[in-house]
Amino acid sequence: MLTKGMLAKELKINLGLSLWMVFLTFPLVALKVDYLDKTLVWHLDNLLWVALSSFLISGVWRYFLHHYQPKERLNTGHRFSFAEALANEKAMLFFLCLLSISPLLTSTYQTSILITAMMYIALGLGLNIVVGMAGLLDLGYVAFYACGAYAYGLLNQYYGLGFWQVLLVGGFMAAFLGVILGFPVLRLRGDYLAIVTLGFGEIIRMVLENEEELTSGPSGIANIPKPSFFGAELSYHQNILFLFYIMLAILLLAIVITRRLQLSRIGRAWMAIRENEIAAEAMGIDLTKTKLTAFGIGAFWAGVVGVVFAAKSSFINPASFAFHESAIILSIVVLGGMGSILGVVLAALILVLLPEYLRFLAEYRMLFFGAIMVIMMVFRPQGLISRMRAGYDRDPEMNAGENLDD
Amino acid sequence: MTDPKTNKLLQVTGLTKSFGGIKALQDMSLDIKAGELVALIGPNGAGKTTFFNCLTGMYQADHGQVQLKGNLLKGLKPSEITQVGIARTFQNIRLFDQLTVIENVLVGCHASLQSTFIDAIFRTTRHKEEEEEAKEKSYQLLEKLNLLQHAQSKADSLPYADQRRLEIARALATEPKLLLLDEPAAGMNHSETAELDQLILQLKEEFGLGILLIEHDMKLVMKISDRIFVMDRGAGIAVGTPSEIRANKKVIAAYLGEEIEEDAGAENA
Repeated sequence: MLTKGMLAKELKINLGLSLWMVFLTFPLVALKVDYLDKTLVWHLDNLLWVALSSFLISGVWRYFLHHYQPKERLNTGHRFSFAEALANEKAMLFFLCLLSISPLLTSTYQTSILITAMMYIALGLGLNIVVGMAGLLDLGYVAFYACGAYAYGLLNQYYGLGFWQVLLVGGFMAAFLGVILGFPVLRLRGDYLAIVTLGFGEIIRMVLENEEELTSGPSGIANIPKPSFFGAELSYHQNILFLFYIMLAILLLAIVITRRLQLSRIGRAWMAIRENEIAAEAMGIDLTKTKLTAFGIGAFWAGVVGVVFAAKSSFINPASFAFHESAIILSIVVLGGMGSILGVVLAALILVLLPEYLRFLAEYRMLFFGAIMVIMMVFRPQGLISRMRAGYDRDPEMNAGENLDD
Repeated sequence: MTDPKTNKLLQVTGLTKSFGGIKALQDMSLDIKAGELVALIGPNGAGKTTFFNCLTGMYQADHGQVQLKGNLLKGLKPSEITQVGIARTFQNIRLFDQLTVIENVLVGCHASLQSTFIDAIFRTTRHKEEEEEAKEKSYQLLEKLNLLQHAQSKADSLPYADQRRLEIARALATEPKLLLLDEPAAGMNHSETAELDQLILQLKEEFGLGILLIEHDMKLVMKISDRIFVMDRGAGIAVGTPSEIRANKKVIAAYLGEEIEEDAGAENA
């Protein structure tokens, strides 16, 4: 609890902070140029607001810092009760039901945002296999996403193939590309791997931009059809609705499969490689095979989501697959907590939905978005949800087996 | 070219390895029978760990050959050598820190499991049975190494001596025929070391393992070894029973003319 002395000290710190904020924002906030009269207008009242709000915010922040000190980790494996509360089956089922009826309750616009959010969850899950589980820092993940999208765009344009025919093809093509990329970078780790994969991502984008005869270059591919529904004609709204349920199904499949892989010998091998490559090899784990599997399966989901993306936006061009996208997907994995499925889901929701719903802040939107990211990383540097115990209890009844929980 | 009558588990002949101008190993020859515990000692920098690294495929030797049960191990990757039956622990502990203790041991079971990712995705019977067996085997190993109460703890949260034992448990999970222990007692106190020597003897009996042990704790080495192999500057200088080695002039000279004394906890490269 706060004593009087501590309170005085806290007040002093907060006061200092608010004065500092006033000093920093002074030229931005207090001075305005009136272009018509060509005079300088002073807005000292704005400074007062800055001082007051930063005083309050820093006070609240410091209060939380004091009260949520990370507690001594117990050796019981129970680490973060909030996550476990979320991960229980009933809560999961509830959210799932809520999600599956949400497009019926909300507008097409909202549904479309939710589809995007689910796409990023699935992308995050895919990258989570490569970065979070196998510890291979991949900055060119967007290349596989592009591969899926262009697979649909091009196969549709040249051969008239439909969404359903390409959905898996796109996934497998991306997986193949992932394995191809995997070979040359097998020996690389950490920063070096990051640089090479970054380059790879750029190469793919450049190829798409410059192979104009094949891909129509920067002008992209337009009029990509939406998924057909047993040949029925669908309105725009119905199309979005259908796409929503397709994406929901893909997402559920991605979660279940990722979870099952994580709990298998392959998942354990991935994590062993992340933790210590030399020891992993000494345990009889074939590094080549295991890493390529991670690259392949990770890329597969990006490919599948890429096909959905092409169908959803019905127009794709290389600009959609810039490095920025890789960075966002990587932030989802890092923010969620490396290797945690539930963490990826939460982080993707935050990173996709937050900028959408912060639109009312207009030009300050990205500022707030950045601030929220910083605050989250201050309070939970290990990510929203650090990996929970994987089970493997001795009593078979204790091991509830596969759920969506992580 | 192998002689089945000799009953040799491991046979190393003429192993040579140099790094640039430095000859880390010169014409090393050594053999171990099943159920035999051989200690490998020598001053710091004698090449003991390099020898381990050559055996486990982490380094490729320049010359010489290694045979396990008469099968030549040549050009095999470290993971393949583990699958053939040589497991090791590390001088500087290399656990999977962020995984739990039971997961660490389960990783050791990796090579003995067959199921592919297709099995894992569809949870086939094979996958389920294997997982169940691996789990039970891992728990039994933890029980033997007295780590059962830590099964669900993160590996890096264990006390030092427990981490060393976990390395052994993990190595045993690979179902080795030959176990290489690289300074298992380093950093342990006296009572922990005393427990460890009991444990090593017990494992040797129970699994019929050949064990090759690098150790600086001479009390431990003299007590549990069947034979001792002494290295200096990359070459073997003596081999014999503990009492023979104790009296060997060359060995005493290698240790700077002093009597062999306790040198526990020394870290060598």
